[in-house]
Amino acid sequence: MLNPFIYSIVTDPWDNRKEKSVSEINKHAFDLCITSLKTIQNHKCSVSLLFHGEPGSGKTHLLNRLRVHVYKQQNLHIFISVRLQSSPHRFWRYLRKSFIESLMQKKQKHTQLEKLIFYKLKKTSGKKSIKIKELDYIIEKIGIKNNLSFNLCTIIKHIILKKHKNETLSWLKGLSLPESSIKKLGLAVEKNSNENHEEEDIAREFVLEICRLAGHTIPVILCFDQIEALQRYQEGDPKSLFIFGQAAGTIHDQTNNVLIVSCIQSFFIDLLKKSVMESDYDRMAMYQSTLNPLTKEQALKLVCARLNSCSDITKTSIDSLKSKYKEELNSFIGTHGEVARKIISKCASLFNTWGEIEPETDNNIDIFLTKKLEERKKITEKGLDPSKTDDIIQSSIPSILNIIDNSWKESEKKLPNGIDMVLYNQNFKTGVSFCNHENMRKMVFKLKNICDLTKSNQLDKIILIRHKNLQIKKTAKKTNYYLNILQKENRVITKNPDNSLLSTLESLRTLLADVKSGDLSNRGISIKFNSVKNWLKSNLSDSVKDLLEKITDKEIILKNNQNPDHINSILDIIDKEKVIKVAEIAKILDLSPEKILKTVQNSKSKIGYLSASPPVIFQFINQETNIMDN
Amino acid sequence: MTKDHKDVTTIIIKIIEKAYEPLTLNTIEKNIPQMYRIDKKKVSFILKNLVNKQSLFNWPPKRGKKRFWNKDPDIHSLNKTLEILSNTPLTRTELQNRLQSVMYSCSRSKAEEIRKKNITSLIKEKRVFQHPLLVRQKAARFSTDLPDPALYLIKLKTDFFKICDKLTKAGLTADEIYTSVCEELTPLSLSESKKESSLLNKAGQNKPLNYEEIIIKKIFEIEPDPKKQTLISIEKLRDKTNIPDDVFDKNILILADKGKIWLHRHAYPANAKKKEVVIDKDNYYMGVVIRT
Repeated sequence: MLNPFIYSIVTDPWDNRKEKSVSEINKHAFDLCITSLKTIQNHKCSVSLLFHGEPGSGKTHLLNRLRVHVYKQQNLHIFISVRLQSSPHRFWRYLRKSFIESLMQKKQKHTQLEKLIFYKLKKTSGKKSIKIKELDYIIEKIGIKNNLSFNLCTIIKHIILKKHKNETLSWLKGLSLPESSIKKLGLAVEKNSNENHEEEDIAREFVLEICRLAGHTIPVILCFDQIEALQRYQEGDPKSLFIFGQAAGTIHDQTNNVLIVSCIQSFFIDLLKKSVMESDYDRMAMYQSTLNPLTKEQALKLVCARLNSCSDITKTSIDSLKSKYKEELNSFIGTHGEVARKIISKCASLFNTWGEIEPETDNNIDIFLTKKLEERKKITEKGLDPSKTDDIIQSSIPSILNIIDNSWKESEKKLPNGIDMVLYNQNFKTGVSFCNHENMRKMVFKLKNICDLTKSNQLDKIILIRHKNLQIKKTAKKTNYYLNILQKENRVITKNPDNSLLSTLESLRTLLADVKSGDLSNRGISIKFNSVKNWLKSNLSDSVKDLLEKITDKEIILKNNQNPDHINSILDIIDKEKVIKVAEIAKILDLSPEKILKTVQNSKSKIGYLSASPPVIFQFINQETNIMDN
Repeated sequence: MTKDHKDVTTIIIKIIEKAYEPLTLNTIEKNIPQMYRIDKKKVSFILKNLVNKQSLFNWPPKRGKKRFWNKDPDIHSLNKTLEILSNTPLTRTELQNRLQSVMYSCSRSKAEEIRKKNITSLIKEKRVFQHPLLVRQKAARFSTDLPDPALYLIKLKTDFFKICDKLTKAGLTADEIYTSVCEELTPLSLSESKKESSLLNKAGQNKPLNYEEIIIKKIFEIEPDPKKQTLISIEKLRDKTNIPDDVFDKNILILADKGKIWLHRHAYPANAKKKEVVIDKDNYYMGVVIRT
């Protein structure tokens, strides 16, 4: 018998599991979404909502519910979901990619994008069927009316005629296309640009074009989830949130049909407010609401809904289970209420206990994380292709490097021509250039810029990144010429990541993003960032370590699995608190009290321990040191 | 109100929020950035409006100059009175002097007025007690604790030992004298009245204070519409209510237990400052939402 409570996390608004939602849970938030959609249609202006709640309070579930609701509506709605697991410097490019991935999601037989285009054709022509010879004229009319670019109009035609599907999709996602493909699609040749901000501008314009194409009759629901994951550093990353604020403000101001829904954790709201401009905050959070813990009654309704949706349990068993759960939940949920995820996890473990099923959980966090990483690697490896290299590396390396050595950060300054990312610490500055172009003209332009850059001393090291599967043909004479020049430079090295390295980085990126957003949990308890940090410091794969060593230009020594980092964390806390209960510090560091005691015993010279009831540890001041100081 | 006035109002609120003490009109005016400066009368008008809306409070003047702050002077003075009297029993004058200082140099007459008002209400609520005069004391003292009986029994003790001396010489043992004293001093009526009074005192001390109401009132001041389900941070609410930290924490948990508010946990308590959270066992709460 399948445990009906096995899924405690909705990771994706596109999740199609058939568990029924309980309408009264987070009703006010859901109603706010529906009212806002009406406001958009009536007043022809974009609206923004900001939802906040504890991890597991149902933020992503709310988005899922909204998606299911609008999919059932007769009027066409466009639903876009963006999990912000990206580098802030690639925000618009990532948004463009996410837009397309959502638009390619199917609604009945057709994708959202096809539905949108067919609706526009029908509305513009006023006919149910159109002759092919009329197509160019109608598309042109749509383009003029909605201020669309020539290239997008051309792509729309290919979508209608179902031609060049792969190339069309690549162009829509903003990937580099070889010149032959550009000719085949009949697109206008874009000017050679390797400036990051120009590429961001192009992506932004594309996103706004899609919103304009929908027009005020078709609301675009744009959901931002995991905003916390934009932060690259543990001590905070106001720059990335600032960029998000600006983007949300731009979408709000330059569209008249978008419902911007942002979801964050409760504790994050003050940080977000402090990091973004006040005017941007007002634009991204016109209306706010919280997702609160569930009451006992709501929890019981949730349990009943899960049990009822289970086809392999008999009605009598369901009734007896309901009364058993009622009893258990009465003691589990206090007067303060409890979040849905914890309730479902509790129910899952009870179901296992009653059915004498061995639970598939790991008490050891390190084993749990290693297992999760391996699972993710298997999934990501399947969908990997060289075009994702830039995004994966730029979105993962700054935060991983900062975890391993917190003196390293990504530069926010204007980048030198040809360079896509600069990583630096007090002594060293490394530029990273992504050279995964299919289009050799753009590649040559970039390499030429890097050759010019080597003449100056702006960077201590330059790493050229090109995916292992992307071979450079011998016929690409200019590319090979510049590559030969660069290979003679001591400061320039080439790195050819393969799919295995990329899948590890991608899995780490999603794992870190989930942890930052409170979406990674073991038995209903959210995994703390510190736990992942400690695990990563001692479990970094050789391929990632090698790449980091190339960037930092020094050997990376991984920490021993055991204590040093725990000692530092404990010392940090008792430096602030002076005296603290063992249970309390164990909770903060997400370690067992036994592990804390073991660590303390090994460092008696630094930390004092009092075996009172409850046991406490305290800041130990070495008398000898004091005498020396005096 | 013009757009300019709105900007100046926001700036004034921010200036006052940052201030560590009540500010005079002149200080507020000086702190307004050059480009937003307006006529003094207009600043005064804005301040008056803010006071009417209860966003700010009028504070007792200093050297005749009006002062403004975002903390309620009545609650502030009440808390400070309790804090001062919790350390050591003080006379009226001593308390008055201390109040003058904690009310940021208000006038002597104002301090006297505050002292009279606070002492009367606190004694009535049995949160402060007037201690009877001891030998050589000329003025009564006030404290949050009940008087220590030992201090008043010193003379009685000396007399008792003198009597003991006399009676032991007459052949009685010390135990017999002590038993007799106990019998004489603990008639049923006395012990009953003692019990009653101690119960009364306890009840008075534990009597539910109106802190819960103050917190709820402040939540509604920050977000008047409960339907909006706005999350209010503990830090902001703590600042606004100006209640001693431990009392605030206790009352927040009581309100949650009573089902009046929802509490939201902090995901990274290690990064949070103490005033940003309310701790309950293993839970670190960072925000509240009014329950509808």
